[in-house]
Amino acid sequence: MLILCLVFWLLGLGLQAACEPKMLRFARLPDLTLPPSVRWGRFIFPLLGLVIVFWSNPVVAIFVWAGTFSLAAVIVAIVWASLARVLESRR
Amino acid sequence: MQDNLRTRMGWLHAWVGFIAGLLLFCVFVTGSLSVFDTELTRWLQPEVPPQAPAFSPQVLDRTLPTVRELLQQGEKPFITLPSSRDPFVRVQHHDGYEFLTVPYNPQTGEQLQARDTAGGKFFYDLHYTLRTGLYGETLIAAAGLALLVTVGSGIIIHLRGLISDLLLVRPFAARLRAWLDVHILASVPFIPFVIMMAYTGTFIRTRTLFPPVSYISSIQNFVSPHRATEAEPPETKRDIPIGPSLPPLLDVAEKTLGKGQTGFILFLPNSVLFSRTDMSGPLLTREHVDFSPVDGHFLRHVLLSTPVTQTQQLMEGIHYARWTGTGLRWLYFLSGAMGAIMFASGAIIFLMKRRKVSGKRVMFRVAEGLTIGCIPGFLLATLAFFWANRLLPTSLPARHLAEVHCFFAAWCLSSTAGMLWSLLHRALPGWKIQLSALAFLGVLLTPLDFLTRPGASMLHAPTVFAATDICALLLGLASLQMVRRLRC
Amino acid sequence: MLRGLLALGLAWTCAHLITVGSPQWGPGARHDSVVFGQMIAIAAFPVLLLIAFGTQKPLHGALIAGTACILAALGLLFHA
Repeated sequence: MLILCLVFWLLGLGLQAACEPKMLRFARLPDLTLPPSVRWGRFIFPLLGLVIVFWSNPVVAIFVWAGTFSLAAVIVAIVWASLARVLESRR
Repeated sequence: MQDNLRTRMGWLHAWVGFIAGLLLFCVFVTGSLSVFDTELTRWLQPEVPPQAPAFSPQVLDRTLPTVRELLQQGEKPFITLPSSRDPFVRVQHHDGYEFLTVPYNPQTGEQLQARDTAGGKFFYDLHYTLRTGLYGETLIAAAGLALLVTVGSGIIIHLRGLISDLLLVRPFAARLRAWLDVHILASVPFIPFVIMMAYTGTFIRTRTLFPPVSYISSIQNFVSPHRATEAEPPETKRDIPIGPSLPPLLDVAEKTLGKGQTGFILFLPNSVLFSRTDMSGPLLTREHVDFSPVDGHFLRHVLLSTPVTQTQQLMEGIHYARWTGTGLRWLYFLSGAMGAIMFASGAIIFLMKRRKVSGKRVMFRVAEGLTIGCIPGFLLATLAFFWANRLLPTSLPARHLAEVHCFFAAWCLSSTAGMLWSLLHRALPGWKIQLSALAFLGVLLTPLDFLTRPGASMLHAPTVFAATDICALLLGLASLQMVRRLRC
Repeated sequence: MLRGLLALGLAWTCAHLITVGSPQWGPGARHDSVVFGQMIAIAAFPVLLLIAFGTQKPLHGALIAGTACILAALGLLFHA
């Protein structure tokens, strides 16, 4: 349940990074104009994660949801920084 | 400089954050370790095997001689029942600082010959008192308030870039930029956790800062009991009744608390309390069923259930996190560790920003010396505690105190060295030496564990031993990387 | 610096007055009212400090925090 919620947050935050011009500039990626249906994933994935943790165990749901958000943010940020470094070294 | 809300909040954030942050770094490190206090006690007593047979309630009576001995010494012993976190029966008592424990086989009741250790509870005590009792509690509660102010001002400063900079970390940018990114990454995603822990933690110790009576009366209350105890004659050895058999009482208690819901049995002079386990839910109710210590007849059932009390229990439960499963416990640990990184990076940024202008000033040198002592120095002392646990002879009298002395000796040494290096304008070698020592102790903790643990094997299931060793290894490698980057 | 100390003093006074007055909020449930008062005091302290320190004009911040102190002091007269 925790892992699944983490995966949903990773997807949501990954999309958020891909939609954020500042993040794209940092990684020197071209402007990815994602279709609106994909952009909505930024909000839908976290909500799906919340539904799953509530369905699994409502007592711990909020704590797991908030905790996995923090962890996912760190993972996405580190992966994005590594990606930017790799792309920079290739140029 | 332009005087606006951001600059005012920036000033408040920097100064309050730096002054309280050095102390809060220690609080967050010990808090993160306290999440696994029970597991750490198992690492610190390697004679106790990782697995244990199933619990038989009959063994409780076999612990009674130890309980009686402790009662005669005027202690308030308690027996903790096996749980998913610790499968052994333990007789514990508080020595004024730590909970000292004696483990028993949960099926046979045989006492396990484990070394005397301050255990994981050492970090718990350090977390909220700094081992200085009420003074430490007051100081830490004040630091908790400072943390709330720092977080509030930090949110105001960073409000504009809260979303856009959330995932932005540039480790290979200019140093100040890289540290700022690390600081933001370690703080913004963890704001809910930090606010929750700062608020609940300060609330738990509010009485030390905001007593419900005037300060004059509370100082009088604090001073007068000491006078009374000074006049009291030394306590004579009390006559302790043989006491009732515990398994039937456990049965009765579980009819009220629920099957498997008894966490510990506390022995007081006038009653035996069967208390609900802290693992039963987010509310730390401490509901208990009391029996007579003479003949075991039922005395009372205590449960406070007003809405305000339940809110208080919820806040305590959230802060102590004893009800959580392994996954959530790791999230608490990681969030606490990131909190510590937030304070460490904040302190480094504070120094970096002022180095050019004030680098030669004595106060700056003192501030940097304190930072070296509080950040790598404190981590060094923490690892020294683990090393002392394994290297001190097991037959040493008052061994648990020797471990604690090793911790404070290491901390004192590293703080003094850091301060001296800094005052001599050699802060960089000071950082490098401390971080190198930290890397050495962290990386070599795993070999030390294998060499000093009876029955250690490379191919065992993930246990508290493996987890502790890996965490120390990661800390060591991170320190090594920092030493490497400092050379650049 | 001076403004910071003033903000600290006002926020601390307000939080202290809340906890000192809280036992009188519920004469039949002193424990509960004290706990409730402490919950409010801990939340009020940082908010008041930030307001007292953060306003454009120092007097405005002091006035807001001072008013909160007066309200908290009125709580001393309050009997549930």
